[in-house]
Amino acid sequence: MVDEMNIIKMPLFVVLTFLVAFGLAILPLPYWADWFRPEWVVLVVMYWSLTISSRVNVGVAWLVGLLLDVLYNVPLGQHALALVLVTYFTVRFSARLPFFSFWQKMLVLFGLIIFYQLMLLYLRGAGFAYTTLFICFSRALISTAIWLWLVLILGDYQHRFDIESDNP
Amino acid sequence: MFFNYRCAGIAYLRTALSLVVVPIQYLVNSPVQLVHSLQTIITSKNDLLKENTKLAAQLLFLQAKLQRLSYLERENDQLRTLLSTSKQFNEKVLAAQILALNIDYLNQQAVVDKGKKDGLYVGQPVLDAFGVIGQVIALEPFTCRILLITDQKSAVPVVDTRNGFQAIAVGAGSSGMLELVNIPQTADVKVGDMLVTSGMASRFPYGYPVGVVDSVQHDRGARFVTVKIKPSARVNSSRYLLLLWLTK
Repeated sequence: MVDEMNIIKMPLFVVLTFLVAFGLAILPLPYWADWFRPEWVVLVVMYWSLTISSRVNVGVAWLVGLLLDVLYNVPLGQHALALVLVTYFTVRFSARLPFFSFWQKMLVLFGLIIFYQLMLLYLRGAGFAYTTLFICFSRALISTAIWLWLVLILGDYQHRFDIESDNP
Repeated sequence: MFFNYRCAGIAYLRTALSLVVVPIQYLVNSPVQLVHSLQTIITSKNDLLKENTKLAAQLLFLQAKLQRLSYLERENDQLRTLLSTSKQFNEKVLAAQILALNIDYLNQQAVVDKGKKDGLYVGQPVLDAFGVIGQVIALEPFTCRILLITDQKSAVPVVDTRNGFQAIAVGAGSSGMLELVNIPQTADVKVGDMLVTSGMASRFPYGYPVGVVDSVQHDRGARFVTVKIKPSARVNSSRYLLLLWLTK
């Protein structure tokens, strides 16, 4: 039976993780820390779209992207589009992921985050300077490393709050 | 994004969505504010006395310099009238405090505690104690948003104080530096040159420090020289800012 009002029944914990991800994304840090900032919002959206893809899917990703646009005070729609594309690919290939080895999964994650960042750069019309690309690269690496930690933490809380997972 | 530029009504959607988002911004910046306020509360009496005498000396020095300033301004106005050029602007200032600082490699903005009710306008120049720090880009009733000069979207017309060479200083993003764009290989720019606003485009008034040239890179095959500038303003660590009005 298809649950029509999925978005209204979003578990409170999922909303909380999104808010915490927003907070971490705009944490005031010095200039050099830009190289080591993980993409928290992308990681959290990807995690929830993999575990409860009936609730968190491209629609939620679009909304989260819109809120991210307001957070960064940029023209509405940039982060929304980028997040929607990333979530689409995540959900589309979520069935194949259990058959990938560990390193292949990490590579897919890395690729998706690089894709998200390049999409944002393109949409902002920002220059593709070498430093910008290096920053994208290092941030994607850090994000991939943080993903492993994030899966453990969110998985633990997910079981504690009894959020049923759609994928085993 | 298409609607953002074409429909003015999008601003209402943005305000509605910002109800969710603005508390997070304040929450995230509150530790910084807390540390600042603790710094002012927890100081020894000795430190306060020392700071007091230092500030009194600085005030005396600045007041002495200021005595000559009003005379120089009048003389400047008279000379300009003689040359039949337009008069300089008089400037009104308002002090403000940074509420939130958002520095990302693509986006550098600050939220400041003065807004529409204080009579601000979009495009207003903002300085800190050491130089130009940005311009106002968005207004709300009680706060406003400032685009910092190091943001890639920010461009400030500058002039070299040594030889009057004019250029545009664009932000270089995450490095915290500025860059002069489209400088030909034959231009006379040296390391250590002091750059001030040139007053072109009527956005920033003439004469405020923007930065010092940090490096000049001549690549043989390139058409332009890469000039990096270190901004005079303490972009990352300023807390008190000045908003400027230009009135004749």
